[in-house]
Amino acid sequence: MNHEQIKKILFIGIMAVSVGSLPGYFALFPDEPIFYAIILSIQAGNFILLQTGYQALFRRECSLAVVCLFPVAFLGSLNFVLTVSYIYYEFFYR
Amino acid sequence: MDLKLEGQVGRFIGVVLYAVSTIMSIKLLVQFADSGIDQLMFGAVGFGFQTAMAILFIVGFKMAQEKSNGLAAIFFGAWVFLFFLSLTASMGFFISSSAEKTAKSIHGDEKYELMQSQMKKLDSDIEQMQYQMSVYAKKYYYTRGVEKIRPALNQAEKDRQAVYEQIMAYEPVTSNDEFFIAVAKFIGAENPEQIRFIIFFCVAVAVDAIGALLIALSIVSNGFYEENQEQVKAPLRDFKEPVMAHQEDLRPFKDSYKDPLQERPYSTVDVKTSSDTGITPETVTAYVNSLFAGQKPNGALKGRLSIADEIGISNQQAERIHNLLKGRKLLKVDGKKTFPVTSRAKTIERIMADMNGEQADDSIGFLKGKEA
Repeated sequence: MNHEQIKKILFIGIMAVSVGSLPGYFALFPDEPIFYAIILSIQAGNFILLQTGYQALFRRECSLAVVCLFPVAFLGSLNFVLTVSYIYYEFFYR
Repeated sequence: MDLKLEGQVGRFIGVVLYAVSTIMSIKLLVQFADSGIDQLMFGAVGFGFQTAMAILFIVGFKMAQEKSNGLAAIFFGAWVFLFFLSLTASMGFFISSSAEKTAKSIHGDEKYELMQSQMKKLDSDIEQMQYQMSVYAKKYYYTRGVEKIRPALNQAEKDRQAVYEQIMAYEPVTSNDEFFIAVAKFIGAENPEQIRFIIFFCVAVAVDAIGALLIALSIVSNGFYEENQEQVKAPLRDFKEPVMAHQEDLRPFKDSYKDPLQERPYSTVDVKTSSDTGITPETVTAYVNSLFAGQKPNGALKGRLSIADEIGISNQQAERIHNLLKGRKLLKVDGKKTFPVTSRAKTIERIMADMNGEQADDSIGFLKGKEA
């Protein structure tokens, strides 16, 4: 598996988790389009930071990479928890 | 995705998140105001501290880039303080909005309405019984009148108290509450409200931190994504790109590549083999001038990334010039700091002599593209 393949898998995985977590976020404020827009902006920003951090890593700009990837890891963890929770709620709880 | 587009999108999203955070802070602060002037003042405070927060972060980031660690720490320290203030404001806004929404949803709830009507009925019963008792009392019908009604009145009052307590403690279960109850059950938390609070906290952190970062990145490096596109892709896809001797080869997954340079040891003079570096003698002179202009009291020279920003060349070009100077022993690198070996004039003189071919090593090929 080469670098490009790993990059693709990583990005697709993170995107899938971001999309999967959206229903969980939307449950915070149902029927609030502005809040939906905020959440979508956060996810898009997160993805751009991931891209930037990833590139900084390859430019060996480690401090920039850490600054960019730290929020990505933070939000990624929350996204993951919400995705798994929503799957549990949808398929096992209801 | 095109990196240029990403840069613009990043900037736009940063501004949106910053605006959202500012609005949330202002809305929350305005709730504390009584009069119109107070509202105006609180709004100005909210806007002011949000703007100060963004500026502190940008300046701190710039200082860190220029390796002025002390100043960067001061700016970041102040930013952290304002960040927590903004975080609190965002959290407060989410919590008050959520409470408002619950308050609205409670009025359409059947169980709540039933309790309310029960309460009203008990109120009217009590009123009626009290009236009847007063009538009996006026007629001196104590044993057959007042004393007969008293137990019923006491019971009605007790029932009313119980219904009142139920109404006060009642929280309607909406569909989103159900989700948080499920999440709490899933992760073993006792209180679903705690889960909601934690998610509010994380969203507030994300709004503030991601917004600040995106704005800072787009402003500090003046189109961060665009200008680095070439240098980001080059080391991974074109192994003819230079790898300098002082740098560790950190290319990840390098085993999966067939490296055409494997048989050629890396060297400080192995600067460029492609046709166009975009570096001219004027660029190098400007670089050296800027390098010495930013000399610190301890003798350390300016960082190459800030010089790149200042004279308008890419980070990669700055890296190349830096390595050329270092390779010609015109700079001395000590840890992260760079020190001059000779004066500015001599540095320019010697590097120009090199570049004009008087003392040049043929393998440099530094200006081949330009000369051609």
